Amino acid sequence: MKRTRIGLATLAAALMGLTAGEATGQATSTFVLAGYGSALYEGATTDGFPNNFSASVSPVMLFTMGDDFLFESELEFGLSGAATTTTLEYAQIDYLGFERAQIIAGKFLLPFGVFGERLHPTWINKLPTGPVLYGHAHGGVAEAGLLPVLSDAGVMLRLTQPMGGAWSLDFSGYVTQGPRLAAEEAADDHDDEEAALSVLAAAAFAGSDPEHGPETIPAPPVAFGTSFDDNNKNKMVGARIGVVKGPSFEMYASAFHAMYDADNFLDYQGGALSAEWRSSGYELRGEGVVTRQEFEGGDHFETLQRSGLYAQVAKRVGPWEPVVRFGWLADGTVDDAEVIAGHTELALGLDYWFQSSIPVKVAWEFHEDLDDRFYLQWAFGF
Amino acid sequence: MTNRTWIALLTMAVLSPMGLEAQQDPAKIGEGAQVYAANCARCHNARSGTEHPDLAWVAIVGHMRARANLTKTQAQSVLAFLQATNLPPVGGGAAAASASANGAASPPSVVVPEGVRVALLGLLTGVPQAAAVAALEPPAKAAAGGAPGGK
Ligand code: HEC
Repeated sequence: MKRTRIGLATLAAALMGLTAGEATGQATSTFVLAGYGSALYEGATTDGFPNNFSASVSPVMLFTMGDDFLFESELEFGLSGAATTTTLEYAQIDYLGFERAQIIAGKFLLPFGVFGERLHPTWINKLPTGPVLYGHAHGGVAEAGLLPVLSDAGVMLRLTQPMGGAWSLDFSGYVTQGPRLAAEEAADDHDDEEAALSVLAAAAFAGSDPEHGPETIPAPPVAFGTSFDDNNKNKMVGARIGVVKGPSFEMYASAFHAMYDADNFLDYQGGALSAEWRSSGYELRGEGVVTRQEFEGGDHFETLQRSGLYAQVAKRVGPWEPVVRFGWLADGTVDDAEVIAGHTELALGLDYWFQSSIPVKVAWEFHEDLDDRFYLQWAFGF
Repeated sequence: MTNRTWIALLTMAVLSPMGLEAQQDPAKIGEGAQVYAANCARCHNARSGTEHPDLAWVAIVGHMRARANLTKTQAQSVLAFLQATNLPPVGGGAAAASASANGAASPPSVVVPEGVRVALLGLLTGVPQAAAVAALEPPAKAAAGGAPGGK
C-alpha cells in the first residue's frame, strides 16, 4: 500500500510538475473580447411615436500586460438615419499594482452616481430604457433627461479601504476635460450650423410637451466627452465616496464642478446620492441628482437649477424578475421660477433570464403628459 | 503526509489536467469564494466561473477590480476561485469545450456535478462546505435557468 501511495504521489507530482511551467510562467499578456448586444422593439399607443425595431452592439476589448496593467475599451455601434454611429464609450489604461489604489487614465465612465458607470449596459439594466433622469443618453448630450451617461477624458484615482466584515470605504476622484457648449461642439465637428441647431433642438426636447411644442430652455445645453478638444483651461473635478457592505448594502455621494464656456466663467455643478439594498431576491435602488448651471441672462448671470430621482425595485422569482421603476424630474427653475416643466414616469417590466447575462425584458412605461410606451428587448452580455 | 494532503494532491493531479489549479493556494481559493459571494452579484447577476477559460478571467477580474474598487489581494483571490471553479468537465476534450461554450446552460450531468466540485473545493480549501455552496450557488442556479443571480 505504501508503495502504491508513493507511486501515486510521484505521478501526481509529475503531472503537476509537467504543467507548472505553463502555470507559473510570466506570460500573462491576454486579450479578451467581451461586451454586449441587444435587439429592441419600441412602440407607442398613438401614431407619430416610434414603432421601431432596432439593435446595437457594444464590444469591450480587454488587454492585460503582466499582473498590473490593463487596457480596457468599449465602442458602441448603432444607426442614425442611413449612417452607422460609433461612440467611444471608454478607452482607458488602468494601473492595478497597488493594494488599495488604482490609477486610471484615458476616457472613462465617470463615477458620478451609479447608473451611468455600472448599470446602463443592456444586460445589466433590468429595464429596456434608462431612468428619465438620464434620458435617452446619446453621444454625451442629455436628450430627454438631466444628464447623459457621463464619460470623459482625464485621470482618475480609485481607493478602497476594507473596514472589517464585508464593509469597505470606496472613493473615486477624477479630473477630466469637462463639459462644453453642445452647439459649439457640433459646429466644430461638422462645420455647419444645421448640426449645431439639431443638437440644440434635441436638447430642448428635455422639456418638450407635445401639446404645446418644445419649451425653450434658457440655459444652453452642454456636451460631455464628445470631443478631445477642450474649449477652455478649466477642468472638471469630481469625486464619489461611498460605503459598501457586499452584497447587501451600498451608499454613495457624488459631486462634480466644471466651467463650460470658453471664458472659464460659467459654472456647471452636479451632485448625486445613490443607495442600494439587496436581500433574499429583492433589489431596491435609488438615485437623486441635482445640477446647477450658470448662464448669461441678458445683462446678468442666472442659474438654472434642475433635479430628479428614480427608485427601482425588482424581485427575482426563479428565472423571472418583475421590476418597477418610478422616475421624476422636478421643474427646472431660475430664481425659483419654473422654466422647464417637470416630468413623471412609471415603468413596469418583467424579465426572463435565460442565463445570468441573457434577459428578455418586456416593459410598459407610463409618462405624464406623453404617450405610454411599450418595449420588448432581448439583451446578451458576452 | 496526512491523508488529507494525499487526497488533495491526487485530486489536483486528476482533476487539473491543465495544472493551473495545482499551483493555487487553497486558502486563497477559499478567500476568493467569499470575495465572490460578497461582490460579484452587486452590480449584475453573478457570472459562473465556467463561462471563461483561466486566462480570460485574468483580464475580466482586472476589469471588475477597476469597476468594483476591490483590493489587489481580493482580486487575486477571486481570480484563484474562478480559475478553480472552471475545472474542465469529466471526459475532457470536446465535452469540455462544448460544456464551457454552453456555459451555465449545460445540463448539470454533462459537467462535473456542482456537488462534486463543491465537495472537492471544500476538501482542498478547508472552507466549510456551506460557504463554498453559497458562493457557487448563483451560477449553479442560473445554470438550471433558475433562481436569483445571487441577489
Ligand atoms: C461595481 C459594479 C460591478 C461589480 C461589483 C462587478 N461587476 Fe462585473 N461588470 C460590471 C459592469 C458595468 C460590466 C459591463 C462592462 C462593460 O460592458 O463595459 C461587467 C461585466 C462583467 C463580465 C462580462 C465581461 C466583461 O469584462 O465585460 C463578467 C464576466 C463579470 N462582469 C464578472 C464579474 C465578477 C466575477 C465580479 C466579482 C469580482 C464582478 N463582475 C463584479 C460591473 C460590476
